[in-house]
Amino acid sequence: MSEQDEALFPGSTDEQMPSSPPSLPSRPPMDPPVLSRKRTRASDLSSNHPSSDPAFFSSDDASNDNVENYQDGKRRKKQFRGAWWDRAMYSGASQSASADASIGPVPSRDGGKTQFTRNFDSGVWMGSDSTDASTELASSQERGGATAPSMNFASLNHQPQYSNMPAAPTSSVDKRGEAEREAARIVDKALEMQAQRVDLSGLNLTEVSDSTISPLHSMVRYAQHLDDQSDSPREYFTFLPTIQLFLSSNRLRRLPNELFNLDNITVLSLRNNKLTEIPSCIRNLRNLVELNVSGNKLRHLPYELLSIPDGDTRLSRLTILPNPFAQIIPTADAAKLPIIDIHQFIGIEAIKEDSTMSTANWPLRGQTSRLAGWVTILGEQMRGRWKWSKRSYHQSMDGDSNEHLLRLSPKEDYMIRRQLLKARPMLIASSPVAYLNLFGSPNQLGARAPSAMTDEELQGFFDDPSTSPAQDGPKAHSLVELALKECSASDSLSQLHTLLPEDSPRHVVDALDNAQQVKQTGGKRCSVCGRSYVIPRTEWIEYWHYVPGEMKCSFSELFVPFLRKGCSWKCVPDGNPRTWF
Amino acid sequence: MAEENQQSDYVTLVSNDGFEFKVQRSAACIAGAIKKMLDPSNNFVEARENRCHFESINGIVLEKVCEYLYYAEKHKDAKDVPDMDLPPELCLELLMAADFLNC
Repeated sequence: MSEQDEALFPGSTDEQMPSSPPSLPSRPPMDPPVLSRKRTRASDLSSNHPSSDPAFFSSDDASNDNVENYQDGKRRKKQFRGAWWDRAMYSGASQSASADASIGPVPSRDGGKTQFTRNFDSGVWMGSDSTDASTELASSQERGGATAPSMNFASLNHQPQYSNMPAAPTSSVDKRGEAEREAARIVDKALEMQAQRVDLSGLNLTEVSDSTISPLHSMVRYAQHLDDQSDSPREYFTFLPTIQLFLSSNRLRRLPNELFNLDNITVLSLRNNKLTEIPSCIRNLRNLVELNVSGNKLRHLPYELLSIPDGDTRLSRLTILPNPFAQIIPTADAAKLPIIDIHQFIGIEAIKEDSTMSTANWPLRGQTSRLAGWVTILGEQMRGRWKWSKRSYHQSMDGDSNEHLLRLSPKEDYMIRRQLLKARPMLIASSPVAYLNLFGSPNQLGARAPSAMTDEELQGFFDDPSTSPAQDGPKAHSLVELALKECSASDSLSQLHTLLPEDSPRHVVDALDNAQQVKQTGGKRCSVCGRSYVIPRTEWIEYWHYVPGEMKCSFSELFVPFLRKGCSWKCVPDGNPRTWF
Repeated sequence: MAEENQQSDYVTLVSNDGFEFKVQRSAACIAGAIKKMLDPSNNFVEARENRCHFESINGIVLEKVCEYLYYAEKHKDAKDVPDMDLPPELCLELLMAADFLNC
C-alpha cells in the first residue's frame, strides 16, 4: 500500500513541506517597494519581526526611520502625497539620497536648486523626462542668459526691417550710413504710430536702400471712425493706407526699387535731390495724387508719368519746375524771353476773341522760331478745347443755340477756364525716333540715344532726323529679347551670369544685369504696344504742354520733355510724321 | 553657278554637332549675321554654297533659332504678336546664339 501509494503519489512526501513560512519572506526584497506595498508588505510587517533592515526596503522618509517608529508592532508607513521632487525637498535631499536611489531619479546635489524652481512652475512632469534634460536646460539658461537677449535687442535696434534681406544682415547694417539708419528709425516710428505721413526730408541721405523702404508695405490705416454711428458709411472705409512719403532735401541720386512697389503712396515728394532720372516704373504708383520732383537734375520725365490713370486718384498736383529739362532752343536765347502768365498770354484772352494766335508781336525771332511754332500749335489746341468745352457745357445746361456761346457769365467763364486748365496734357511735338540695336545702344557708332543727348545734340537731332535713319524690322521681339525675358522668369536670375562662358561679350553680361534691374522694378512696358520688354529698341522725346502747378512760367517751360521708348522697330509714333519746327 | 545658288529658296544651317536645318532664305535673313554671310557681295563661301556652318551653336539651340526665325518672319507686320515660348533651360545658350547671329 505504502509502496503503491508512493508509486501513485510520488510527491506525497514533499507535500508536507510547502506550508513552511521561510520561503515567503525571501520575496519582498526583490519586488519594487511600491508594488509590493499592498499584498506582501502587509503580511510581512504584521509579523513580529521588525528587526530586519527596514530602511533598505521601505520608501520611508529619512527623518522617520528612528527606532521609535518601529517599536509598535503594526507600523504604518508615512505616505507622502504629491510628486517625488516635493517629497525630496521635504525630506532633505542629502539624507535620503541612498534610500531614494531605488525609487526614482534623484536631483543631483549641485543642480538641485534650479531644478526645484523650474519644476514648481511647470506643473506637468512627463515621466520620461530625465533629470539631465532639466539641469541642462537650466544651466543653458544661466549661461546664455547674459548674452542672448542683448543680441536680440541689438538686432532690433539697428536693423528694424522685418527682414527679407537674404543673408548677412550684419553687413547690410554696416553698409547703411548713419543718416539712413535715422531714416529707418523714422520709418519704424511711423509704422508704430500708424502715421501715414513719413517725413524723411532733410536727413542728408545719399542713398535709400530697399530695406529701409520695404517696412512701409506693412502699414495699415488706423481705424479712427469705428466708434461712430454703426450705419454710417465711414464704417466701411478701406484699411489701405494713403502713405505720404517725403524724401525732399536730401542728396539722392537714385531711388530704391522698392519705392515703386509701394502702390499705396499718394504723396511723394522728391524735391531738392540730385536725381537725374525718374524711372518708368513710376507708373506702378497708381494712387499717386501729388508728386514733386522739382529741384533735381532731370533732363526729361518718363512718358509713363502721363499714363498714371485719371479718375478719383488722378495725379492732380505735379510739380516739376525747376529742373534742367532738355531745351529745344539755346539757353542764351531762352534767357531773353520774358516770364509769361499763361492765362493772359496763350490762354483765354486770345482764345475768346477767336483770333488767330499771332506770334508776330512776340519776342520770338531767329533761333527761337521753333518755339514760336510750338506756341502756335498750343494755341490751336487750346482754342479747340475751349470751343469744345464751351459747347459741351451749354449742351449740358440747356442744349440751347449758339447765341449763348458769345455771352458767358463770369462764373461760367471761370468754370470753363478751370476745366481747360485742368485738362490732360497736350502733345505739342515729338523728336525723330532713334533706333537702337539689339542691346539698346544706338546703331551708329558714337551716336547717343535721345535720353543722353545734350541740349545742342538734341536741337541738332530735331533739325536733322537723318542722323538716325528709319529702320525696318519685325514687330516681333528679337531673340535676344525673348531669351532675356525667359531669363527674367527664372528664379535664379541673379546667378545666371555666372553660368555664362568666361569670354562672353560685355554687353551680354550687362544685358543680364539690366534684366535683373528691370525685374526688380516691376518690369517695363512698351509705350506704344504695351508689351513688356527688357531692352528698348526705339527712343524719342515728346514735348508736351503739361499744365503746370504755377501759372507763371517762362516760354521754354511751357513744354516739358517726356522720354518715350518702344519695344521694337515698329513701335514708333503713330500717325503722320509731324513737321519739325 | 553662284547665280543659280543665289536664287535658291532654301539655305542650310549646320550646327556644330552636325545637324542640318533647311530654312527659307527670307526667314534666315532675319538674323543679321546670316544675312551678311549669305550676301553674295561679301563673297563668303557660305553665299556660294548656301550653307552656313555654326561652330558655336549646337543642334538643340539651332533648332530653336530656326523656329524663332520662322516666328519672326510670320509676325513681321502683325499688330499683336504673342511672345514665342522658349525652354527656360536653353535661355542662356539662346542669348549667346542670338548675340552671335544678331537677331
